[in-house]
Amino acid sequence: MNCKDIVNLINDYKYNNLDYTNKTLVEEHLKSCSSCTQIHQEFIHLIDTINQVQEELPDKDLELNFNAMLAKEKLALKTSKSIAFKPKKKVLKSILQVAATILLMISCYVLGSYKDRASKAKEIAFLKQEKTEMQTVATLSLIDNESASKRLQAVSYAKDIAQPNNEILSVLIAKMKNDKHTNVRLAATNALAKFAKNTMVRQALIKALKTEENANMQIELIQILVDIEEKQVIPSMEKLLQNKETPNYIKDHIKLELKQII
Amino acid sequence: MKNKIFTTFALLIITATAFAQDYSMSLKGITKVIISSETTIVVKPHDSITFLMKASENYRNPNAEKSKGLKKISGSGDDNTNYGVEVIKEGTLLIVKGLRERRASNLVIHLPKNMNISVESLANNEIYIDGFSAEVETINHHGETLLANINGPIVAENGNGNITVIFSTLNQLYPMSIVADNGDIDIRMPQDASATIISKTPRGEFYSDFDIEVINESSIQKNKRSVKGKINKGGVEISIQNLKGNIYLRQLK
Repeated sequence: MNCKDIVNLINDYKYNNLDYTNKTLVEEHLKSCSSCTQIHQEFIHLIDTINQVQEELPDKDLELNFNAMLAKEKLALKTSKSIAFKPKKKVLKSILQVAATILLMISCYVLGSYKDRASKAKEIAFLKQEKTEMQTVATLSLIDNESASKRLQAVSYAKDIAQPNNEILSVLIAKMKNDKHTNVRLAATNALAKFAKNTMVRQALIKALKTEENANMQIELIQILVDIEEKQVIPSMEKLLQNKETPNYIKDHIKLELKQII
Repeated sequence: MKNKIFTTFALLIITATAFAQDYSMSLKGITKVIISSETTIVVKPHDSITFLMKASENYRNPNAEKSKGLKKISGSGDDNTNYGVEVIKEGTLLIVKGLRERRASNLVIHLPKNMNISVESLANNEIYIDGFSAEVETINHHGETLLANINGPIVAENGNGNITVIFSTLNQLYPMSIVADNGDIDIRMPQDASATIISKTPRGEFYSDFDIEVINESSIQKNKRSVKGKINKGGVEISIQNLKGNIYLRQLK
């Protein structure tokens, strides 16, 4: 096993999903290879860091203080109720007091959370970027794996990247055009549908339909292009309608879709 | 007298095994077995870490003894097993290529149950795989596919013909996909299995007795024949796409 194979197994190794032989192989390799050990440690660190990011909640003390103050104010309100016949000014004063307290509390909270958020925002942005990089690496490392399941996993990683780089998009386009399993090609096509605003992707989808022979792929491509209202799909659809080899049920479906876009 | 019967019996067994000559090969260092054949392909699990073809289940070249030491010259491949099957090791892969024509009898293979397998039926024939708990990949161009008592992950494709998948448990490790052009897709899985299902039936219907919580996602196609839904709070993603036939997703009872 070379380093590339080991890196492919690291995810499974971390989650203890390997069989005994592979697990031993990875362990042996990690002992002897410093670069793989580093990758392994970075991976563990990253997963840990991602897991540590928590939802932001206000400080617990704040809640306690708020409850205490609220109780005080409630008491104050009650007292003021019982002396309702006293001059209006006092009622107004106590209302103002409550308002001021609430205002003060809100501003304290906003200030506090803003300070906190500013530092966390940086951290989150950094983690997001690191996550994208990780997903990119994971996609590229699995996309040409011998196992079709792992190739599907790679496509699914790629689909989750918010803004994939051109390398990822090219890899997905290549998988859409060519894979032993139609399943992987369909998954790649589906992932590309998410990025169809990108001109390169859009052109690739249009071009793919022109030469596609698999019926499932044809229907998938037509569906995506009709959904994004890409008029350039029409000539390919008409060509399929004229082709004698196109099965009738495909033709029926194409006619239905043509109505949607014309 | 008893002794005589015993000896005859023992002799009979010895001769039978000598004539049977099962073909077996160690699978040490092999991570995946890739099988293709024009005949029907049957893959069964066994406890030994070997690739095994039994003489009792497979057609064997009757000239095997006569042609010993010679090589069969054929355009399609080298019959290095005398079973009309070529077996080659390529790194960590074992490539098994059936050389017999599509009307020949079934190719029956035994493998360890945790071996990753990839099976392709090249002509109008069936694929039967039963009792494997590793990655299973199938491609069947024309014919039935039956995957029984498996855990997944699976990646299965059928051109023409029905595909039946019976999960004994549902492996959550990798996404799965089942695709068919023509014919039905029939899937059974345990009542408590967690999964996220994406089904597409452009010209057919999707039926299920599972409680499916439909997710409305903007990325899902506007077409109403695409459904994404969670079963038992969601889990491993299973894409099922059938162009013309129906999809049946049943609870395993």
